[in-house]
Amino acid sequence: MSGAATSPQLDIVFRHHPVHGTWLDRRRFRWPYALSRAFRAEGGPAHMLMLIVQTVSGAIQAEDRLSQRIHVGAGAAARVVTQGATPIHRAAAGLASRDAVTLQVEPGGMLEYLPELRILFPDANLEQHMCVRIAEGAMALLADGFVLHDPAAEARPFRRLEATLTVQGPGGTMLAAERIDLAAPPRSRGRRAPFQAHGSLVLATCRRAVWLEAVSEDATTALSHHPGLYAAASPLPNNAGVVARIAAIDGRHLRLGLQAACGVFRRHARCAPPPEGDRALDAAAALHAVT
Amino acid sequence: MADAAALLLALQFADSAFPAGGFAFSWGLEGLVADGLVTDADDVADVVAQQLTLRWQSMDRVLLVRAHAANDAATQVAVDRLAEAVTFSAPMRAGSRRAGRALLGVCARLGLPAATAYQALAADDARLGHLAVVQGIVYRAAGMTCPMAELVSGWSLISGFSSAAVRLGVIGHVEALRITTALRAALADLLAAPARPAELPASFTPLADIAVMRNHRRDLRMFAT
Repeated sequence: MSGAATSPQLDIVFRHHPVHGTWLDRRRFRWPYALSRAFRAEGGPAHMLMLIVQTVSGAIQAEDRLSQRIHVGAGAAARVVTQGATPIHRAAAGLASRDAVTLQVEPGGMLEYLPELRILFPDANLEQHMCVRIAEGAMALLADGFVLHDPAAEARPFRRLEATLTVQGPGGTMLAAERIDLAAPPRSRGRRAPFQAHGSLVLATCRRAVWLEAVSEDATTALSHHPGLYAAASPLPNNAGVVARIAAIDGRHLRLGLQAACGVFRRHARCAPPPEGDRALDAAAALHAVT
Repeated sequence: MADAAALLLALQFADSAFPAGGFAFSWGLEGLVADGLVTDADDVADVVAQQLTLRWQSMDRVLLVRAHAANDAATQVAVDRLAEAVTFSAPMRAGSRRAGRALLGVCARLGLPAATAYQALAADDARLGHLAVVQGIVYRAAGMTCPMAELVSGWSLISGFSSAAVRLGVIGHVEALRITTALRAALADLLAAPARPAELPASFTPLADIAVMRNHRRDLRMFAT
């Protein structure tokens, strides 16, 4: 699954048509990606289009330099998923797999970017960067999660995981950012030890604090009912959305947690009030100097 | 002892009796105890070690070093806004600001002009005043070198956690001393290499983060975080 990084291997643009709903305006892809036809999605707006991004190998190798760009036009609604969990294979010393995803959602647009979990094999070295830019009134639902797997059942660790998520407002101002940089998976002891699968679901959207707090309260309540999870939700900085943080005993439970949070976020997203507007953007403008 | 004045300055700011509000925060420990995920001294040592290596070292220390190097208010504010943006948990943000503002308040009352000046800026913006940033500002203003400021900040984290664990009844005073002794060496190892302030701050303490989010909803709790 190797490829040059000069232009994204996957470049998709969704647009909204007043009669026919969301349609695919651009669907450029090359090795290792493959796309089939898009179809109408369940659980979202009626005009939402769903696309399954497939890869030939279904895995990420050490030399891979992957890049995706997904653009959702004003008023369009799209859900992008992957064919299954993605193994990140061993990288020899000095090599790293790189995966960059750039997402942009125009005013009133909705993007659900819900890739399946990453499976980190022993000596995997992954650099993963996701950046989403949301316009006023736009929403982006983003899932991210990883599990560990050693085929020899010897609990051999990955070599490195660096993952960044950046939420930008209009114009590219940074509203929220998170970075993980691990040289090995942290090994907790005692009753914390079973939580080896970790993930987040982010609903990126500039809304009023009171609405974001209500969403996170509901998500925390929903997540507290699932065995095998330790999870909660919180409003993001600068009123940029909500994050559900999920620790699980395995990938199956992590998926269940992500689905539960997804259900809450979608339910609230369907009846979201008008966007937060100026306040969040003013706060974000001040950030620009440091970023 | 040529460095006596510098050491005494550090001792004063790192003293658990320094009234900077640190006693009000457990940074997730209370929630982990309440949820049954921390039950004994080994658990406490494990949690504090992870906070030190997977949060303080790669996030708080980075922010502190940037704030310590800031030569003007605009740069200080920019670092503070970065601290806000990289803290995904709302209760953690609130706790960090509350602790930072408490430190600012004490230093302003002690007559530190830099603290008074930054307190005025923070009064106009509720998102300012994160602890690591305020530590960088006031420790420099008090006369600490950056390495000494990093040391005081790291030690304050270790002693604050162990103190919280004692008050939560998870460990006794002798166990707290054992934990701080072991982590003193870990902190020294971290401080032996310079911080990497140019990087985007990083952290990975998901269970403690979740505990803070969940603890925030409890009606009866001892700590703010």
